[in-house]
Amino acid sequence: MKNIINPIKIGIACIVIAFSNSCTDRITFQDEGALEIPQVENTSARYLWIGPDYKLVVEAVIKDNDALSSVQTLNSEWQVNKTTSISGKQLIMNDTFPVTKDANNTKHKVELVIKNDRGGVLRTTIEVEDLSGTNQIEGYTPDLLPPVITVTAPAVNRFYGINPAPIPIDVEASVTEENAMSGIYVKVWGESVDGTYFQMEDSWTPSTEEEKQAYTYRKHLEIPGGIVGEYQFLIRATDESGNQATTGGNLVVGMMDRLYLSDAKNEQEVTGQGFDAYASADAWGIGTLLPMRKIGNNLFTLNYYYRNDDDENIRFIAFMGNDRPFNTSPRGIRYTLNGENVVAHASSGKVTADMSSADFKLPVSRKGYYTITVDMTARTITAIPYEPTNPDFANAALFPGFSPANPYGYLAIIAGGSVAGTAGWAEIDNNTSLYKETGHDFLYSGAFTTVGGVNISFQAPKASLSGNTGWFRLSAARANMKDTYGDLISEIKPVGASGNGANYGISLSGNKNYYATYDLITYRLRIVQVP
Amino acid sequence: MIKNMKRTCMKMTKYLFILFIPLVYAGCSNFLDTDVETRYLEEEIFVNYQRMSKAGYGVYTNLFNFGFNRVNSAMLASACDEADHADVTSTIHRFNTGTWNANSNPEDCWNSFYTAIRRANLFLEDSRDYKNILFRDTTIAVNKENYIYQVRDIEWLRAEVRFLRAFYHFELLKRYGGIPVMTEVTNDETALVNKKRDSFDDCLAFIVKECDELIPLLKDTWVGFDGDKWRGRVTKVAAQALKARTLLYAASPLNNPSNNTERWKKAAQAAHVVIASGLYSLHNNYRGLFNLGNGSDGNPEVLFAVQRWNENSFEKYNYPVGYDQGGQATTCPSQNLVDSYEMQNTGKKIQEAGSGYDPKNPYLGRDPRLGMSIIVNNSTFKGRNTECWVGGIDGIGKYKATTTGYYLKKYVNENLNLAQNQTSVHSWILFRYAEILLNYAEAMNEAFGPEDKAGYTMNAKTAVDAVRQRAGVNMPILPPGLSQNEMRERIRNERRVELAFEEHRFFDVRRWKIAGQTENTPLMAMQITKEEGNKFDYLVVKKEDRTFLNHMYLYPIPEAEVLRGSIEQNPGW
Repeated sequence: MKNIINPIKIGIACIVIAFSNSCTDRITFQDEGALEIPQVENTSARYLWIGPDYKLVVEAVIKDNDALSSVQTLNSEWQVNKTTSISGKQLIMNDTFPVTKDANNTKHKVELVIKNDRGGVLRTTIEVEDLSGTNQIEGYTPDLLPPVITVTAPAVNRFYGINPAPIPIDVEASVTEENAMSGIYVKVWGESVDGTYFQMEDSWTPSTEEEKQAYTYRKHLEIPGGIVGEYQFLIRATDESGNQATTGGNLVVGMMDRLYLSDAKNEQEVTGQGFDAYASADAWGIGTLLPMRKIGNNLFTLNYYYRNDDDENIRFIAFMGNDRPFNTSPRGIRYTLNGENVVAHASSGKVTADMSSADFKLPVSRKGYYTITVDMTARTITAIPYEPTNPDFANAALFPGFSPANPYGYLAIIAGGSVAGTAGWAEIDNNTSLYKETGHDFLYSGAFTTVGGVNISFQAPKASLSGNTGWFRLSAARANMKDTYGDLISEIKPVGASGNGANYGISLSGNKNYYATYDLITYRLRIVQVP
Repeated sequence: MIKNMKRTCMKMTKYLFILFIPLVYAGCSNFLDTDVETRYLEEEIFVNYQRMSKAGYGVYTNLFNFGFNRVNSAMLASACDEADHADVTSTIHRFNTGTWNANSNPEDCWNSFYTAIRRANLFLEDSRDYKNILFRDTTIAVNKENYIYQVRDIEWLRAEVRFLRAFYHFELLKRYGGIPVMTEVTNDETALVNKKRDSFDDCLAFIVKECDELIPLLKDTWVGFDGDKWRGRVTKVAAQALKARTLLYAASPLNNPSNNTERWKKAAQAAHVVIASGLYSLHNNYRGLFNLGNGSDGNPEVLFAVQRWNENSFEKYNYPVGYDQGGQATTCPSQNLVDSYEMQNTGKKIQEAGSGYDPKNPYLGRDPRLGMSIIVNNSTFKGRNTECWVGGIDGIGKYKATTTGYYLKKYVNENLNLAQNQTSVHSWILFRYAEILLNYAEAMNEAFGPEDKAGYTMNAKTAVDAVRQRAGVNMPILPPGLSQNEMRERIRNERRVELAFEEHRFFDVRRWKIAGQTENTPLMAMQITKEEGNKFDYLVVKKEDRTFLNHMYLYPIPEAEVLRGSIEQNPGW
């Protein structure tokens, strides 16, 4: 311990000595008197409205006992920065700066930096007095407010325009003006996809004193239909002082957001198509309408099995904006097979809105799996065949005992007895089933009757099963199954063991007769009510 | 940086390699929810699908360097005329006082992006032989399916990593100008030290070429694929959008001083590819767009987003201070920004005669995006009216309250109860369709003028109008007949409003070379006084003067990098 303390003591002693020594040299500060700085008095800064202009006026009396050198005027928000070289002992400052009009009431300050030739600097701040509320020129009362336009029509700005008939548009706007309106100008313009330009101009001038202050403008016009086009409309009202108010909007024709393929044979299969009716989680996807994936502007595609039956009734239903084919709550259907948003194949790969000339088929002559593409701009349809394959077939848990060469004879309906001809949670003798269709390799169809509230699954034939396998049920929780447009749907897929997937089947309303078809390639389940 | 890279490299070869998948991904969408073994020797990584793919996903981690309060607890918005950062101790203020340099850049990204680029190069080089690395057994159906799946996935992942590498290069390019393009893992210290900056045009060519090559290799969407577990990964449109943004920056005055219109044409063409695809559109809820959580990539407007995790720090940073469950001001929107929102009825700026603006009711009748992005005085938030007036419970002067009279609303989830520590998933949008429309409008206006379609499907005006006419916003379309200069001003203001707080403005004013004006203008605030009868007096006051000097259009290269000898410093630093 001693060995440690001693060096510390010695060190402290050295520092004290060194410090003491350093204090022996006395530094003397001589009083040379304060540096003289300029003085300023009678300062003012005013923000003025003079005629149509706004100005900042800065006044001050600047003095110095010896000689002034410069004065700098600063205001950062108006970006005022002016330096003036001066001389003499006094300056009566009266500077004016053009400034912009404040949109808001704004607190401004002006800074003066005044220097004298001895290096003295005076900085002073002057608060700006806002006098811009009143124009400095008596009687100057300009009308700065434009008319007010309220557009009441068109209330809709997107149009299906599938039919070649011109699309009627009503333009309606109420215009009011405090002083006097001089006129209204309306323009509708744009072009269709083939480059055809459309323009309509109209103008109106008031004929009475009342009309100068309030007028409702109305104009009926027609823009081209039957072809995709984009248009704009403009309404401009001008008052006698030249103030203008302008408003307007877009008009879009034929740009579809969603397209669906419908293979309902008739309207009854539209209204009677199946939907999963579980509690409040109603979901479509098991009926006669199939959402087509949007792959481009007005371009939609779908993989589809085409039966090529004589009574094919293939139609394409388009929707725009927030329009949807279904309500989910309450359950409802919001389309028909003959609406203004429906097209069908006519001939030579074209689709038409004229149902009298449509054949309602695909542009092919053989049954099979096709990739269908519909171009709603060119109004064309193509159907490219593809080889049906399904990698799930190789999964023995999903398709026990199945191969395309040795397909199931049927898929048993398992519904706990809530479908006539079923009982419990396993296949029974003569179980109600969907049977493999002759001539359609991967389709299973059949009729069934529900009894009360039901929970329907399907299962591979019991002779093929190896333990708990071969179930076809909802593939995910209902809230997680959505179509290409983000709408809730129900999908039935092979899940293997019953506990996989969402562990639920679909729900159908009770005591009704249904006919179902299930496709093992696309996993489409098509259910319709039958009499 | 070069030395750091060398060191890193040596560590990798001699010691342990650390996979960069870790906790940051914990709350993300499923594709990152995997068991992670965190330490392997380098030669132990590229041996199977699981480890190799994780090395690829690791390149994503630098995306978390984007957005929210990432610059010393501040948003980048507070380093430009969008906002003031309430915490005076944050280094973000150096941008505004002009006191940043090559040694103290508050947002120096050099090292982090080059680390990510090296990570990308390492993955791309070591996974090159992926078809042989992956376990292959085609005799058993399940194994064959797995092999096919894994080959396809690594192919996609390699394309994604190339995208990320290009994206990180772009992020460096827009900050520093021409930078060294790094496309391989280099272990030669001499070569690294001698590495020089590539020119801006060479960097540009690299990024554009990468995007062009990648677009066919990337997936259209991850939504609906494989149980949605890969959502959030890069898609085709992200590369298209990166190309469009890069070309726009290249055409902008900062990088195109001779105003070569061919550059603008290329930028327009690239943006139009996204528009013409017809696959994307504007979300019908501007406010909701920024609170989509992990669902953001399922939205037609979001082209690429950083999907984050359950958190509430952004709400703690931005709920008005008067809420008893917690909150404080950090990003305080400026009066300068608030003033840029037009009047909804007339489509005019508030300063214009006849706009309909009433200074006594300054928030009445404004562009609806104002109320969706910024909390203004006496507006409803979390069930009560905010009190931003002096003396109000959220007002200026109160500890940790707003410094400008406003609070941030964009990206803030209003529905959390902080007292109960409720959280929600936050996503930061990197590319969205509205930006594409505005990129296109700007390029079209500069290349062809305001209303010339030049063979495309839209002209500059209709692209801006589409943004203004978004459902729920419904701003009037722009008047026809604007001059090119007038349209330029309208587009710039539209970007300012539409893309506020999204890390665009800070860079926009630089590439437009107008920061000398906008960033030397004082930041203004609103001082509100409550009067009788629930009325208010609104007075704009100066919050602070700001300083921007001419050399600040580009960041300084970090001094440690310059001192190595081969990397030339940007002028003025």
